[in-house]
Amino acid sequence: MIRFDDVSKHYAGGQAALSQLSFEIARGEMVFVTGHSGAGKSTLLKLILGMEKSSAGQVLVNGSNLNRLPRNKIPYHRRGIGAVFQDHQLLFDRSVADNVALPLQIAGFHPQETRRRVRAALDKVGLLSKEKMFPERLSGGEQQRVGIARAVVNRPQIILADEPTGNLDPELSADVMKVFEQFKSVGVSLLLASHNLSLVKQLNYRTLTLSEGRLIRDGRS
Amino acid sequence: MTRGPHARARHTRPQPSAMDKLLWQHRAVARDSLQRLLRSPVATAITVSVIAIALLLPALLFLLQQNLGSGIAELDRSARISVYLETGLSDSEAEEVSNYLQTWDSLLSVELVSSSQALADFSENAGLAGVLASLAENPLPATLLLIPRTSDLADLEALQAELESLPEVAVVELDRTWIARLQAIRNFVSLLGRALLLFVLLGLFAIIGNTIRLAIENRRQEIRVQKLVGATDAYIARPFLYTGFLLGSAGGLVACLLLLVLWLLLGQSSRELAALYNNGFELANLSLVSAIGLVLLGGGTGWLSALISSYRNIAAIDP
Repeated sequence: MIRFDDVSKHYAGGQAALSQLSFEIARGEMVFVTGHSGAGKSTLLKLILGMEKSSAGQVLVNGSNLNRLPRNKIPYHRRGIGAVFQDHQLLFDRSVADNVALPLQIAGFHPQETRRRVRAALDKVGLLSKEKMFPERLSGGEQQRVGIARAVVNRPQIILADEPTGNLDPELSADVMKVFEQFKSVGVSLLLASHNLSLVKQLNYRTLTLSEGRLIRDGRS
Repeated sequence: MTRGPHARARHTRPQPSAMDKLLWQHRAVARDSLQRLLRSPVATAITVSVIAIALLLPALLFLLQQNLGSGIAELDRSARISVYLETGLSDSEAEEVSNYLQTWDSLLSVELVSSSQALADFSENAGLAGVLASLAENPLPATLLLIPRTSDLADLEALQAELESLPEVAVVELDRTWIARLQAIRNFVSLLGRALLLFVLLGLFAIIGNTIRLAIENRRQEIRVQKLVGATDAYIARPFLYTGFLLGSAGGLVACLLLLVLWLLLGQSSRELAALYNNGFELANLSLVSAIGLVLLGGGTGWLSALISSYRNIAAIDP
């Protein structure tokens, strides 16, 4: 589903964010990425989303080579990916429900169908009662869960999450992980970046460990 | 919290067509654009009035040209030749000339206004009875009003020369030269209108384009997020295209209303002016078709400038 072939990414300053990364994530596989901050976790997710292009090597997602994907095809590529961002990327001028509805509106779903799916997604993250509230009035953890609901609402084939449990207490973290596991069980591929090592260890999934842009370990924690 | 992620409701509706999707999106987007404009009424009103005033100028020239056109047509039908006879001529001598001209085939009718009748008419119309009465002698010549059979300028000029060669005739005045002048003015106004329209359209592109650029700048974060969840540039641009179209059409509509106000204000004085020329000319207002055209011109210009501006500015936002 996701394949990195010898991928490197340099920024304009010359420093390498990622160097010679190779790995593959299968359909229905859930993989963690860990590493201290600045190790390249976010860059990895940005490459998969097409927010950045690799400097060398190939990034293949769902059969298409992102280096060769024309600019106007990138939106369609992103529609197949549900992404949870570390800074949530919510819109503060609209309600929780409208935030979650965004991917469906863009994909052109009927308003009624959109409402139904939005409520289902909010129910999954335990925020159905707050659908009419504005993100500003939510706690950091609640905002994060709104971001998760938005990522899963369009039933993507790939879910990427940058520190999805960063602001959540252990109980909520476990709930969110359960939601991710449900998606895994129906064949969705997930790549979760986290530096919460205890959670990662406890779940015992395949883990990619990055250090200074290099993949230093790939295996079960 | 624990329903299966893909547990679809049993009543999944049939797959909507691409056309349906587009229709829902457009309806929602058009409404949203309108609401956004109405939420900042002052800024919207200022933009709309600038567009309206810009459109008003070429529209006024267009109307002026139209009115000159219909004025000319009105004058054309009553094309006349005025023949002023020598002042020394007696009424009976003038009568003789008149009778002679009535035998000419090139003339439809000949009407004689004797010098005494001219004096009476003039003092009545111009309210100068006192001044004229104080003159010892009637200063006005007898006049022959001729309606020629032809309306061709060359034929009329030949006729004019023929009339001028008569010894009793002092001056021959051909209305045609006046018409030709009016025609030239009309052409000038029309050219001026077209040139002005070009400048106005360029100005509108700048005004609307800049308004859209600012709107995009204000919604930068929203556009970033939209791009992250898979919105195409076309999808993101759509509300801004509606904004441009709505601003432009509203400008066109306000310009039509301003024209109507002007027409109501000027109508009376134009009728007085036309009456002075013995002319049934009515000041024409914008026809319904032209009014719709003006609104569409505004809307189209708004849409096009929004298109150019939004594609440039949206592409520049990279998530």
